[in-house]
Amino acid sequence: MLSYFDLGGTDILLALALLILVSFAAGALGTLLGLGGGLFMVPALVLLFGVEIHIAIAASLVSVIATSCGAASTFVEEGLTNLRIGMFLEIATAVGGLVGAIVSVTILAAHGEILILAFVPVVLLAALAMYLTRRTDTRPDLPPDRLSARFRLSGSYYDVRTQKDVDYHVTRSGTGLALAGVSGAASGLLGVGGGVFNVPAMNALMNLPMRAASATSTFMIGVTASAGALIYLFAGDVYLGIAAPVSLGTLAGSLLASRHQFKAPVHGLKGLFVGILVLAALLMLARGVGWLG
Amino acid sequence: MSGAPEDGGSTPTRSLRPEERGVPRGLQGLVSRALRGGTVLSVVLVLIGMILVAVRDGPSLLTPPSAFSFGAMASGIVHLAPFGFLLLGLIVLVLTPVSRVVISVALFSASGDRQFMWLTITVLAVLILSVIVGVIA
Repeated sequence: MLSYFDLGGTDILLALALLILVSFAAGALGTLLGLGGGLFMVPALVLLFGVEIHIAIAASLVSVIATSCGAASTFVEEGLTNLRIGMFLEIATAVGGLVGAIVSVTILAAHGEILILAFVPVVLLAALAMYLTRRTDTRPDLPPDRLSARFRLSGSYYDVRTQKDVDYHVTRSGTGLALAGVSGAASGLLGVGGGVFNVPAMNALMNLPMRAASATSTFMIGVTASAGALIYLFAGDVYLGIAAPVSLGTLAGSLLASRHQFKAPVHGLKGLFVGILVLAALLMLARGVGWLG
Repeated sequence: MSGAPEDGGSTPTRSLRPEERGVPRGLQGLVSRALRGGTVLSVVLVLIGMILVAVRDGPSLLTPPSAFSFGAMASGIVHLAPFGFLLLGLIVLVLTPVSRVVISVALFSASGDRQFMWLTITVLAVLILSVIVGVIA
């Protein structure tokens, strides 16, 4: 097993180039799907680069923030992001992110294998949610629920493809809020953005159109990951040699993808995404029980 | 919280503007600029750090750092040590989403939207708590 820290000379340049390339792909794919790319980053760092799980999680959180900042600036400017829903759900994701990170760096500090194994059901669950909601579309006839009417969460965006304003009402916001809490906890615990829960929750449950859901998720995950990243940063788990190139690669990927998001075939990407997730889950399972490295 | 119409079943001729949806005027632009500004600043700092690695330290950068401290970071920057710039760049990146929460608190309170002012203050409080917990732990 190749370990990033053991390399020297030209090997390190090669590993650095590969690291930036992987981060670029994670940033681009994460942006297109509204996920943040942490689900790719953590397994890639653990399996390809032999990085210890806590360090991989910390670097992944940095990459999630980079994705969010890079892409959300574009989406917010274009009015794709629903700022009110984002900030409403952020209460739950930020609390979850804080709690997840505390558990990870304290109780589970010496039990990396538990974190690696915990990755498996979370990733599979996410893949399942993605798969089940792959053809979901919003229903314009649904009325807003009481909570969403009270917080005025309904919104609209201008669709570049159809050149029309798309209006939508928000439903089941209480359940959405609870799911956002779970998403935040997964984020802090495992270094993922939580978008993998946010997007199906907003799209399939709360009735947001796919583009608005993924743009709003991209906006939210920055704050979710910040709560966790601050804990890891002070715990000394953010390794500069990894996190710095990862941040550059991810930013480049997310900036590029956010400019071309409207051209992407979202449904086809979901299929690809589910495939990658299942593969990542299997590899992490193999690593967790000691078959790999 | 002016009486913005809740578009029901009546025939809407156009979509509501952001202000009518309860998003304060200028919030989108400011948030977008804050995110972009933080990102650019972070990239510049990280790139300076990486260039310094190339011309000064070489791969020794990849050895894990010792415990985090602001003093070490500041003196690293003063002495043009790569880790000072890399660390500051990453801290700027991590704090960029926090900055847009601060902007939201300001604009929601300026627009008189008490509901969302308290909502965003709560998010900010959780983030500040993260820093406090991080420093203690």
